[in-house]
Amino acid sequence: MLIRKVLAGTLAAGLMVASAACGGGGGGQSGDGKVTIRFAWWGSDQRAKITNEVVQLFMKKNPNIKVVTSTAIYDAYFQKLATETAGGNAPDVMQMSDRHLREYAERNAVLDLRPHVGKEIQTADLKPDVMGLGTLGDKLYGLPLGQTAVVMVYNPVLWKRAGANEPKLGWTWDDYFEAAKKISDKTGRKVYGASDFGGIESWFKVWLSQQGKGLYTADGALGYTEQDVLTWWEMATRFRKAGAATPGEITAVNPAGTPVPRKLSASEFQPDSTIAPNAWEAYDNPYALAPLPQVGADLGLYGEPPMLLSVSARTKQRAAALKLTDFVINDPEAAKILGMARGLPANMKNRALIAPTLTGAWKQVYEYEELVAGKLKPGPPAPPKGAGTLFTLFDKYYQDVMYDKATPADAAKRYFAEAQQTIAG
Amino acid sequence: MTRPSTLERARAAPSAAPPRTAYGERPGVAYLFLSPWVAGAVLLTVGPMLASLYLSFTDYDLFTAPSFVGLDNYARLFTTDPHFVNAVWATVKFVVLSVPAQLVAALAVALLLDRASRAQGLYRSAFYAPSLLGASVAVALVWRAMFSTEGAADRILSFFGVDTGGWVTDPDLALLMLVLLGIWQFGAPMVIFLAGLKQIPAELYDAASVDGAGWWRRFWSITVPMLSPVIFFNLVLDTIRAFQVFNAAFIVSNGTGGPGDSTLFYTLYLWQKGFVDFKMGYASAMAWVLLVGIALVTTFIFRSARSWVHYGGGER
Repeated sequence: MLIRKVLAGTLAAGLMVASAACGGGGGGQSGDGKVTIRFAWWGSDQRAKITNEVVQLFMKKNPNIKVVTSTAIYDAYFQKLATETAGGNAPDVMQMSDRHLREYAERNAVLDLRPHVGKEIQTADLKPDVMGLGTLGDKLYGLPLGQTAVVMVYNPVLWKRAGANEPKLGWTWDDYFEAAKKISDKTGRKVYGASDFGGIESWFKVWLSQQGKGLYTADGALGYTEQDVLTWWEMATRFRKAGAATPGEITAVNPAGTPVPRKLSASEFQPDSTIAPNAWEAYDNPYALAPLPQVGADLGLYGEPPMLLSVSARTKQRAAALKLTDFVINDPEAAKILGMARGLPANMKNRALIAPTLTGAWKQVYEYEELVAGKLKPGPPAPPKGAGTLFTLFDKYYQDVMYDKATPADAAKRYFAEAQQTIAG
Repeated sequence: MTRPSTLERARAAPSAAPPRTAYGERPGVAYLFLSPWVAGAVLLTVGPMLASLYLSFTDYDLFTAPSFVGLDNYARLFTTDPHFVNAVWATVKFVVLSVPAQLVAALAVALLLDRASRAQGLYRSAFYAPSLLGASVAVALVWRAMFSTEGAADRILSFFGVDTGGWVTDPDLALLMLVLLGIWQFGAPMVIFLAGLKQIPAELYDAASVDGAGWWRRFWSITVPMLSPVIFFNLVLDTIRAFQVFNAAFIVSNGTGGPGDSTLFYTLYLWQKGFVDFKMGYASAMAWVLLVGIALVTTFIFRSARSWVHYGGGER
């Protein structure tokens, strides 16, 4: 009697565990014949809102496909993606960064789209220059979600009030230093002239490019020397020590954003794809866009995709995932909604289509892209494995400099040693 | 799990129960009852542990099959990884600062509550609440907001003329902030202390008072020695818990362990290696080093206990 009860109880418990396990599977075919896929990206609330509108349109046009979306900020996105991918539960369609592409592609976590080109995926209208980043050898692991260049966002009113020279194409880092210092002095360091740029590898990449170098060589080694890192960090330190750029506690990661949106700095660099159409609403006056200061004659900017769109290699709904991917990249109606939320559309027909409709800050971005268009270099190929780690390490070591815990020379030495080791595997 | 001793079984069996042979002849029933636990332990604890021991000798990136590399991971950990040293240092600082302070806070509150007769339950719950919430994401978020630049703590301190800026973004203060968060979660040891205090015979205090001992003297000569087994218990548990601290540092630093490596706790770095850098073999090696480290520290505490822990009755 007792044994029978125990057995029944154990069985029941076992069944519950089993059914709970099934419930966790998710995705795939649901009862009403609908196919469910997941789509994830990183970015601002603005980008999330716009992308969700596109997804709604997609679901309206494809009533048998349900798309579940999720979004996060960059760091958290890749932390989550790694865990999900390891657990065999990656989103079916995912926004991918070039820094992480190899990690996922070489481990067969994302799908080679090449066999689908010309069939489910159309690439005929995509700008060839921006296709390279998602290409590894003869395989295509990510489609360009747009085209972006780095830009300097600045407050022209503070600039004028301090009597600083307006930034323009061809200005130098020394010009930037003078202007930023004037602004900091004028505001009594309530608003700094510049946000400290030393820790961000993306700006270092532009500065290297201005001198004909790159972050990585074609065969995936580091494209710069310890001396380059040192020179860059010494320049940033010169800005910071003079009060031209923000001090450590302001530059440090803050939930409220970088120093410019917190109105503690008058200028900072950004990929122009991160600028929202109503970007200046939160400020006292509209801000302006300018090209980055230069070392020599080379502007150093790349015209490259801000991010890629990849499909999970383990998706159970490949057809639906490919359909959504093609829709986001190529559909003209989707392009109208997306606007410049991920930079200029990579699809040139769509780019021509939306150009006349742009307003506000997006119009400024478009004009900026026109201004620098002739000077842009095509983006370098996807960087080697470990690039995502180096991006984080670069900032981490610069923090030691930023807080005066280490000299630029000491930090550059330690960073470079670890960078080499990381790239070597 | 060892089988219960004869003595325990004898105690557990009520005198009017069926003769002991009823169980003795069918040990299968005992195993049947144990089976869910055994299955859980083997599948969810022992199995993964052995797997991680194996993985610690491999290069494993989560997606492709692990390849055996011998002691490479361990060698790297101890020779070429600067963050490993930083992580150990940050963790040791956290343990050394937070564990004693937390125990003192727990004991102090327990002493206060032990006196209060009215509404003791209410206060006990109130002081225990942070421990329930402490490990949660929400509290870490609140903590981060409080100690950010222009956060509540910053403003209050500025009001008193102490200008700290944000603690979260200051490499010297970020760790201290996490220590404070750790101390604040003193509920569990506090409740255990409270139970321990109730066990101390009141006549000891009465006798001491008659002899003219003051509060302080009674505390040092009666409370502390009588409570020492409980202090020992709390010390061991808290130390082990502190070595494994993760949530708070993860949330406050957005998973970076920043600023610099100042809040890069061991488990946080382990997670970064495993799930951000895809070096699961390396992360497994780190986990085993942590296990051995905690075992060594615990052994040391146990050894030292002989000289300061007093068990009442003198039978041990």
